[in-house]
Amino acid sequence: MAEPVVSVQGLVKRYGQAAAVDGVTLEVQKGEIFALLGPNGAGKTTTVEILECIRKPTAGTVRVLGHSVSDPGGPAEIKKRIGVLAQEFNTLGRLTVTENLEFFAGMYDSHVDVGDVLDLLGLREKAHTRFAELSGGMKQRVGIAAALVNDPELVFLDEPTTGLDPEIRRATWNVIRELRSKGRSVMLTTHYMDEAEALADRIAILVRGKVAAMDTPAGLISDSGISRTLVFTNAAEGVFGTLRRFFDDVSMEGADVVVPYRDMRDIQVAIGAITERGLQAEVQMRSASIEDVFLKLAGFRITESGDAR
Amino acid sequence: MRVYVVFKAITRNWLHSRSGLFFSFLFPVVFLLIFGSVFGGSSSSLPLTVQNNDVVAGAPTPVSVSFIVALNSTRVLSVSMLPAGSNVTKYVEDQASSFGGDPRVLVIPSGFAADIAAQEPVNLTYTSSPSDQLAGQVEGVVSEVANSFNFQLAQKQPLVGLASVSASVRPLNEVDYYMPGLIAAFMMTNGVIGLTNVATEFKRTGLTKRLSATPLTKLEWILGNVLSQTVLAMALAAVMIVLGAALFHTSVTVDGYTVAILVSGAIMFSGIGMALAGLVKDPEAAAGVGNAIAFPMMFLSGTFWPLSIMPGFLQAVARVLPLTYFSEGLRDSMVVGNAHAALLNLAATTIFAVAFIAIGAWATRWQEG
Repeated sequence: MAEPVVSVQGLVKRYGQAAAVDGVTLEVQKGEIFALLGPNGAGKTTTVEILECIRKPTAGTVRVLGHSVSDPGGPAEIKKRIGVLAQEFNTLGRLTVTENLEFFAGMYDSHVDVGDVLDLLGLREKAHTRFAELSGGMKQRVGIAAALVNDPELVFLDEPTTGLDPEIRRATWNVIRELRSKGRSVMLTTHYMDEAEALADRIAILVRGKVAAMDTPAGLISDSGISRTLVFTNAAEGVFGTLRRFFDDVSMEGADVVVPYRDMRDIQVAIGAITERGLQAEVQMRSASIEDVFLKLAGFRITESGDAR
Repeated sequence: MRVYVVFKAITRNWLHSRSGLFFSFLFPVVFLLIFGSVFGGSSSSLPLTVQNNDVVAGAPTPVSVSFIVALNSTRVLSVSMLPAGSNVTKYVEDQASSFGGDPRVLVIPSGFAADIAAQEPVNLTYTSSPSDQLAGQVEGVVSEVANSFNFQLAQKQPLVGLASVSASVRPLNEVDYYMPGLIAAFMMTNGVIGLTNVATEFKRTGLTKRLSATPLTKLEWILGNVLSQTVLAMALAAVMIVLGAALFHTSVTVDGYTVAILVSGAIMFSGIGMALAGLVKDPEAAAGVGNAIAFPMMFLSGTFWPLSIMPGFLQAVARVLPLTYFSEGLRDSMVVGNAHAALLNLAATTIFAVAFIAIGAWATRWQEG
């Protein structure tokens, strides 16, 4: 197998006594979208900034694109070949989108045509608008465009869709998928479960500076041991009692009756018991989500704003 | 190359900023207009005391009198007389100890007229204080008059009409005298307050951090900012000099020394701005720190009045302030025409400039701890 584009072993970042990153080990393979998923303060940004060579690690080995971030010449080599979207991207507000992208392109010895990234991000119409006059979503898009001007092999996206409305989020996801289809590797951080699940080939769940689990989304779900459930909505009285005779762990979620199942036979039994007694209910099969996995691993949920709840 | 990219982008960004333009450009110009209309009318002349010892039979010789008339008619000098035979050394000491007194005494020796008539060389004695910034200027005028006098004598022309020498001498007015101070003060505030604010704003918005993740080095970033500020400062100086000449008929000298000192000073103050932006961690505090440094420096550096009238301990303070050397250097080159002193001050500002840029490079974080 080719050398991973990111290889982190035992990474520690301490501020005084507190460890922001506490022994993270992970690898990102070429061409994959890798998500660091966790609440605010879990150490996502610190980890990514160490990979971007703008923050020093306290301990551990960090290699990016074959260079160590701690070698004297490492950061200079790495910086040429990575693209970076920082949280809440900001640039020169009184310059136009094009002027700003030319500014970033000017930082690299070789760069792509600014017009190409404008097209890729759908920014053509806004090419001559001043950055300060753009909406939040458009600013973020300019940030992604700026991360692509040097045609990077590896792109770091720190919270790429935080604060964006759903439509723009989905458009941004498509851009990120397009990067993968062009053979680029992407490492993103997010506190959105759906984003990690929808985009990432692999996810590392980061809790309090530690990797709680790391796998593909499907692998995380099946390894979590969280069973799939049947959910009976609009259930008539008696559904709960009937199911209790066949299953031990029937529960109520609001007005819904919820039954975990292991296989087809369980489904047959449950539905058979209800129809035999002529009870009315609508039934849905629900598989576990990354959210369930996260809740089980971390013991808390993440709010819309990214905080632990 | 990256320095130029940074220079181009931040200069363009700055030029679109109305408040930046106002405080860095228009405010100084408005200040100059107000200042000029207050002081512009009065054309001050330089005091010179003359002792005429060329007295024959109780009356000054006609030749010596016509020399004094020639001095007076330059309109640059205001001539006052010291009685013949009195003690010049004592007069100089008395004058030096009085407020604001810069004694300049020209002695016309006894036998002046007789020697000229006999075609013998004759020496005038000019005494001035070494701390007198304008002494060289006065000496220059006297020497012009003397040259012209010799020329007229050689041509056997009548001695009248010597007033023509005034044409080759720059009359100095108040605005002339203050012009270097105004330029120095505003270049200083633009660097120390203006650039500090701009650079901390880049830090606050995260632009500096974002750029640190590109191949741009921090020295390139600092030099790009310094270059931008330097070009703006030169433009400001040019506008002020041209406006001064057009509206207040100033006639300051702008030569190679002037340009060199302006460039060196602009780099020095931009260096201070970048150093402060790097040193002050809290962006909110940066504006306050810039002001707290700029305003005392403006008044302690002899920008608007001669250092010699300040108490000794404040003069000592002034000697460590970079603005002192810059405004003295500008005055040396623009007003006094003293190239030697200008060079010394140029050397001092250049050393300060390099030092501040080094501090800026040391204090600016390109990788967080």
